[in-house]
Amino acid sequence: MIKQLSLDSAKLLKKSPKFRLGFAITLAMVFLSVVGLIASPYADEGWGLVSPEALTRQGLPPCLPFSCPSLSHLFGTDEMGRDLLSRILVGTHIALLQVVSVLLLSLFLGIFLGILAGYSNRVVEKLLTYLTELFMVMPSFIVAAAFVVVFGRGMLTVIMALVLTWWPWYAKTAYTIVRGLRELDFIVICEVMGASRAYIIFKHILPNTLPIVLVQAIGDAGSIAIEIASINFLIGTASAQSIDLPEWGMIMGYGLRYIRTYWWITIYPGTFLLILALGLVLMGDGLSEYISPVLRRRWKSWI
Amino acid sequence: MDINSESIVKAEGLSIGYETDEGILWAVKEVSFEVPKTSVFCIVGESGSGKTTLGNAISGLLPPYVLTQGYLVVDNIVVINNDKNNLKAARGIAVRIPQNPSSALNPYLKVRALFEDVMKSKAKNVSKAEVREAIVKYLSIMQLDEEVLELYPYQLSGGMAQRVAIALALAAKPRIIVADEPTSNLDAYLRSSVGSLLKRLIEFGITVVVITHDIVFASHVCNYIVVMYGGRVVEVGKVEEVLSQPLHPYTMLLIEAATLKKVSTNSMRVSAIEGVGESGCVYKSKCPYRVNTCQAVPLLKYVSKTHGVACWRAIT
Amino acid sequence: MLLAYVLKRVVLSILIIFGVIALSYVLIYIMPGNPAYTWVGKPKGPKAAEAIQIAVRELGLDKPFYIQLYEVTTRFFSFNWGVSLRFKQPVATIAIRSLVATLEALIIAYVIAIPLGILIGSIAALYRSSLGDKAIYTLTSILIASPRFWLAALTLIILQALNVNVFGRIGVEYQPTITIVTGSYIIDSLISGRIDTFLDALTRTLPPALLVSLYPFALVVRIVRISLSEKLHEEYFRQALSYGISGWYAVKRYALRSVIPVLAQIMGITIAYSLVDVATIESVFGREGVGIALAKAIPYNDYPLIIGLLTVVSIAFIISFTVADIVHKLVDPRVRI
Repeated sequence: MIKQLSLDSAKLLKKSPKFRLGFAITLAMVFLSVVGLIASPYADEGWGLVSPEALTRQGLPPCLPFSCPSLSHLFGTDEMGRDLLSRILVGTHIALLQVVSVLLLSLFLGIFLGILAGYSNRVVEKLLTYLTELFMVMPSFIVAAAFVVVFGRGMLTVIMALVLTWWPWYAKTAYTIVRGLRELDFIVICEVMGASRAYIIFKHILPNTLPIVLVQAIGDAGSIAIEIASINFLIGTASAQSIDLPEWGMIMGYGLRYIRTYWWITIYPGTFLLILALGLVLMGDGLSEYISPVLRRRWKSWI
Repeated sequence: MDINSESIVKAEGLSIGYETDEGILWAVKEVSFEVPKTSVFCIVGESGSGKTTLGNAISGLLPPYVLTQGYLVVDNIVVINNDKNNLKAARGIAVRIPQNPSSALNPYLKVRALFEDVMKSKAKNVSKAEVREAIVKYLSIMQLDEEVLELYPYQLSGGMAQRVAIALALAAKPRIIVADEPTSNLDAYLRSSVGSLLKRLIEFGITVVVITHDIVFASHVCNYIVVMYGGRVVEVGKVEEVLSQPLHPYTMLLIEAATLKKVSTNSMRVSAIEGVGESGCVYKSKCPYRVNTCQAVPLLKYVSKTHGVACWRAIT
Repeated sequence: MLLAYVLKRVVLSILIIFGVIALSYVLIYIMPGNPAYTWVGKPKGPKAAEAIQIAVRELGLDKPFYIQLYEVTTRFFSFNWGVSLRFKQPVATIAIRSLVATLEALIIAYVIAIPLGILIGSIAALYRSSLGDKAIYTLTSILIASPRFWLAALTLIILQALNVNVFGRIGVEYQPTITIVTGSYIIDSLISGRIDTFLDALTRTLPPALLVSLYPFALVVRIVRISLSEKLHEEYFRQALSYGISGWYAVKRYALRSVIPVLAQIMGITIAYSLVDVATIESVFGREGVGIALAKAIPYNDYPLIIGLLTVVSIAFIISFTVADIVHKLVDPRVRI
């Protein structure tokens, strides 16, 4: 299956300009995250450390077209004097990690529960569909807030909250597909021939479900990135003390109270978030267009 | 073709094609014919012969990304003039009756609303009374009850839906009605009633163009017939001429298959397909009479005033 | 039968509401750590032990499980959801008040986004592959990829530079002029007959609402663009064209009609996603809605309030999903009768 995936990806890169662009941008982001981890100018500050030297340069403005207070701090410094560029660079890998974790975990949970719901007895089915509807209704950021109170702040809290609110969407898709597959003759034949349920699931149901849900997930990637950042933004605004972990959204949220003076703390990370989300959105769009022959048709006005 | 009455549709060297990944696919290749006014004119062929595309061209339903060559004139409107085209111009003047009427009627509107829409598009300021009168008239021509007006399309049976579709077409007051495979989706016993319905339409001064693969249906309903294969016209003429004396091997094959009676004297020789070539006679890969001259496209030659055929063998 | 379907959906919604109550029970009682400790806001210091004891009694932790569940349910329906640790007021009051403020912005945002989105999306569908269509598509991509709260921050900075003040929900000087009925300053000022207050509240709501509308707008444009393009190739649409029906009238009545069901359903779902945007944009503009309430609750570990907000927002979602679903079925006459 891996070989098929890489073959498909190669074809996709060749055929879809959108996907190419999105992939390039995302790759650039991955590169940046590596840079952030090994070569950022003020690595310690990037991770949150406030050195006494930093305190001497609190709130330094960034380098703009006509004024550059300090060339070694291209993006200026935050309220504690830490170099903003380093903070953003270190934060890149956090942003990527968060998106990937949420996607993978909610995909796994969603597909698992969705297939279970679609291919079990009626009781389990009804129960799981109910659970799916129930979790769909949960507002992600409030659940996140509850988790923050109980578990404390940290990357894991927000990821958990998001996984809990996103898995129902993938479960629903998987469930619909599995229900459709069940009606098909080849599944019935397998059952009659005595194949075990596990065998049918792994050999027939999963290969048909996984690609479709995967495409949906990749399409969601951009929105997930923004949602994670938004929730962290809220947590950042609520924070009483300065943020250590250089999560983009949190930096921006905490920086909101300085919006009139140190506006760059909120604005600069946002540009990076925009670029990352754009890359993900373009990849998702390119992928769905490639998959759906309808979308690829040439169009012109009929009227 | 030389006919007594004027022709309402005239095609000359008409070619219609689509761009695909592998190049240009020509659905209609250098087709020339004339449709006489107030006649029932059949275009007969199998799937892929280009007959549906031709029908769409006449009724103004070609997609805007088609490539065109040659001429097509519908009711004195130049629809296609080489690569300049005015594809939508014939809409409303040449109205199409759908192959599958149940899916061709807007499911969100009642039949009455459909009638009102069609009539409003012709004349902006019709009074309610005129509309009602006209609707009753069209319904009665198609032998439909007034009750059908309050129904939604999904509530109509196949036969009823088709009669509603034809009634709507009449309400558009067209000069031409293009019937796209009118019998494909109907039960056998409805075929004859549809046939007589189509023949009656001439009484209203309408020219009927029937697109069908059913040559038997064509023989009962039409005055003129054009046989198409692979996008080209292979034979054309009055129905009596063509069916009693088919000149093209393909026509002979169609008649044989439909009537299960042998028409030609030579047996069918199964030959290997020598590559799908764009060049040469379009039927050569299946033709039992194939000879070397068939490497060139045969021209349409007329053996009588109305009967024409495109085959080297027929033109001795 | 439409009626049967509506009833089924409503019953399901009520069951989900019970699920939400059960879930809040889980969140209060079954979370790691001492529930009472969390409930009183993780206190430290001398008075802590006493506070925790009070909470134990209040939450009924010393009673058997089934009594606890019963008490949770009765407490829920009598709106006795505890007292907010931060605001020192009943949770129910704050939660509903915050919800109203949030809904204000949300509803205005969607009222702007949906019609405008349908219009632009239709234009894009009709002129696919033209320059305008490509521009529209690029715009929607950028809007979806932009962090809305970041755009809000930018807007705030620009407005402040222009000396325009749209902070908060209502100007301080206008606050005493009206009586609070619904909690929505916009509606209440109209009820009290004060047009100047109404205008003030409205002007302060518009920038946040416009920013919130960006995401649903982009989404509607995308959906309509693709959906309508497809419908324009539908058999019955081509047939209508053949009959001579043309122009915007044909598009509206024969193609757009069938886009509405899908759109309604997706909009019901989008509201859930938009809410995060509303919450963050509220923080930026200082509107006391769910976002700021939450932001104030977190540093105080105001767990009762958070759970109260969770319940209230979930119920709002349930209603919105159900309504969208019913509208989706309503438009199709094949389901009726």
